[in-house]
Amino acid sequence: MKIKNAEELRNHILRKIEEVDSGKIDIEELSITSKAGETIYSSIKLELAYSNMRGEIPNIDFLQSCNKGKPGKLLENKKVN
Amino acid sequence: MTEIIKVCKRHGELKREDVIKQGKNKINEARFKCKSCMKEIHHANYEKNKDKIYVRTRKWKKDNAERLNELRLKYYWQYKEKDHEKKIERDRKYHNKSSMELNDVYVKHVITKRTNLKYSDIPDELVKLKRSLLEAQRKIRQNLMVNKGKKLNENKKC
Repeated sequence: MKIKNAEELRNHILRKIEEVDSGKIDIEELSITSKAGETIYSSIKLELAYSNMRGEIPNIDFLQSCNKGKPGKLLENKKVN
Repeated sequence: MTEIIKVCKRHGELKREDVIKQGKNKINEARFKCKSCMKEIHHANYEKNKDKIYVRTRKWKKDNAERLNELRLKYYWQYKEKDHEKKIERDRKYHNKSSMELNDVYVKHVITKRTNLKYSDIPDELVKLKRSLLEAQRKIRQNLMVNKGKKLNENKKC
């Protein structure tokens, strides 16, 4: 399964949690998903931290594609010099 | 049962906790005034002379800077321990509540830990993503604990 943005990943994780609750899947499957999600999250965080350190506006496609056509919140908040 | 000290026209019979001491009368008896009536009078007076009072207090603070510092220090040392205990208890309660509910502030705190990021730098999408990851981690941990307990019980039976 190909995950395009953060919203999809979040929904996927929440679905897995529900499936574990209902007993459809094993807890190990959730742990695999969680680990993958954690890897993506840490890379996003790293990118965010680096751009913050350089004083640049972070431009992360994985997060901005959640807004469906609207400009990202980060771009709205920070003014471009 | 506490004694009725004064009868107010507006608030009726008043006990010790509802009155303020106001000097003595001619035959050396203590005089009392209604607390809520006095509060209203003082509040109205303050609203009427707000600007004057502000200027006066500013002037007093400027003229008596040393005295103000002394008073502040005295208050600080007097209530430090008491306030400190209260603060710790309040923080603990808030932290427990926010970590249970996984509210935005708690998740942002987790994200910004050991980084140079501020709360305002973190986009909402990342907060939501981290929240779902934390939920998943908690679920896994809970499951592990249950399994451990089961294994220990089995070992005990053997």
